[in-house]
Amino acid sequence: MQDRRRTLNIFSDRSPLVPWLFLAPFLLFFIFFMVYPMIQGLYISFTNYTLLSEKVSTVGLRNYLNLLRPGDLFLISLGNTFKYVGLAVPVLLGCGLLFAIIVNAPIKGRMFFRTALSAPFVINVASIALLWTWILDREIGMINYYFMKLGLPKQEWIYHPFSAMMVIVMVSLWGRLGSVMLPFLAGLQDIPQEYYEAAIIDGASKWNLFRYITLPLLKPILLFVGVSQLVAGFQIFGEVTMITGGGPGYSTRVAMQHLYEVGFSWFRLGEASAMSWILFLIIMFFTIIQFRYLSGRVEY
Amino acid sequence: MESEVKYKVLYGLGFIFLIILAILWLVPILWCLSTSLKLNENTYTYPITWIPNPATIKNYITVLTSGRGANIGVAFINSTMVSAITIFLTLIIDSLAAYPLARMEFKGKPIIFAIVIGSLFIPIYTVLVPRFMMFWKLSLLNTYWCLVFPALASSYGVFMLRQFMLSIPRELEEAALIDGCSRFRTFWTIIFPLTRPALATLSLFTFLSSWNDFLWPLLTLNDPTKMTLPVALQLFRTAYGNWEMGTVMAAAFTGAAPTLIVYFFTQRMIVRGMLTSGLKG
Repeated sequence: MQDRRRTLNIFSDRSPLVPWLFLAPFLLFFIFFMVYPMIQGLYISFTNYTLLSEKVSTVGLRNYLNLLRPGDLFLISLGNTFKYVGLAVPVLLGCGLLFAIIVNAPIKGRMFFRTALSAPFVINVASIALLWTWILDREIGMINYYFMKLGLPKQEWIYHPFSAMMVIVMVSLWGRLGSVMLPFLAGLQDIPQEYYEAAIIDGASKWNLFRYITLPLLKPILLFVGVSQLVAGFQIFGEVTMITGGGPGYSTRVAMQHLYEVGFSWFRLGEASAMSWILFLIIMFFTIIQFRYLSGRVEY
Repeated sequence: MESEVKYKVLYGLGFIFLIILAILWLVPILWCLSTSLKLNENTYTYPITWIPNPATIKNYITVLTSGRGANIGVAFINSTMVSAITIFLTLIIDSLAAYPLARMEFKGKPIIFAIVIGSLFIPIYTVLVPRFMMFWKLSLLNTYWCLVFPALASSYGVFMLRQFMLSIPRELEEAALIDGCSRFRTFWTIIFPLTRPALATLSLFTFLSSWNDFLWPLLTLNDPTKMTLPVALQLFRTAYGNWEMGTVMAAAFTGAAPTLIVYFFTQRMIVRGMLTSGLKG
């Protein structure tokens, strides 16, 4: 043992290299597939790179300025993304919290209800899109069938700009509820019952219990769920491309879809990179805002 | 007395609300399953029927063996392979990296740790274009590796396993180190086995994310024999008409069933994992 240590010095426990040997495999992949692409992406965003071009030259801020030209399709897509995020994230957080509170109550069969409401969040987006296109089919879809049964007018669903956006929001709510409800549920179960008991003895109302005990203690979870839903919301892609295709017109075209087409159907990679960095900055901005307002010590 | 009545009414209303919700949430899945068990010509009948008559697994056989556009059976195998390889390598690489971050003091540790946490918030599209170019230049498009390698760059597992390792009592490894065990032996024989619950959770999360990943595989796989399920499903759909929804739904359900089944058996673990990884740091 002693001898081996002397000969293989870098593997000895006292060698400062030991932690780096443990980290090496991960860092290799991390640097190669995360750090390097980030930096290269930033560089590409200042060039006129296309996959097929021989000559690449830097164009300064031109890609960025072109994207931010009024009326550019990117701005329209970005606007739709904001609309989607503005609708879907509050709805998800609100429903997630409300449903978590309900299925946390001592109700018969609550395990069944928890599973039923959360299960869709593990289904892949292509399956989700296929089954919702089928259900929402204008002519032979199940939902329009029941609408007619109830004497309601046939809905256009994905063929009308307004309802098409609603469809995307609705499918997101259905498919992502679990990823919001379950953390809230776990958070609710972590709150010690004594807090409520003490407050009830002091004569607190139901609303006050929620406002002054539940909500403050859920703050870290609200932050976690809020940030992750925001990041996910800005990345919405599969639901849109497979259900509405961005239509009708450009009414549900989202930023990710535009980026995908510009980058990989038209191969304007410089422009696509610039787009991804604009999106990244927007997300960073909102993430930081959320951290500023929701983090900070929880007061008991 | 009065409050008891009020409580019962509230309870009843809540219960009805929950039942309606559960129906709304389950109906799409059940309708997909029901449609997939019908003959194609029975899928667009009026009035609609919930119980397939006759019930048939013909659609599943079509989907898994032949199928136009994309072969779902092959895609199923691809998805399984990619998930398995990704899980195996993620567990090894991430637990190795988590160990020094949890247990050793060394120069540069705060920086590494900050980068690990920071990269949790990086959305995929910031690296989409350069990563694509990279795999294109390496001629690795349409291989398992273009899905596996980027997954190994995710710092999620490192962070989560580190958090778990912090909760393992130090005495256990100190005894081993005093006995002359090397750092690596200590890690392999003591820490790694004790991390098992976290490794199980990480396997699950890795399985879900690699099985369900859509955008990146869509970009990098255009050979139908190499596609994973979500990508194959999207191609599959384009080859079928509205009068063949039985077959399409059989494909959709084939894609959804594995994750749903896994979810039913591991629900508690997933909920716990979501929390320990996200917050309690």
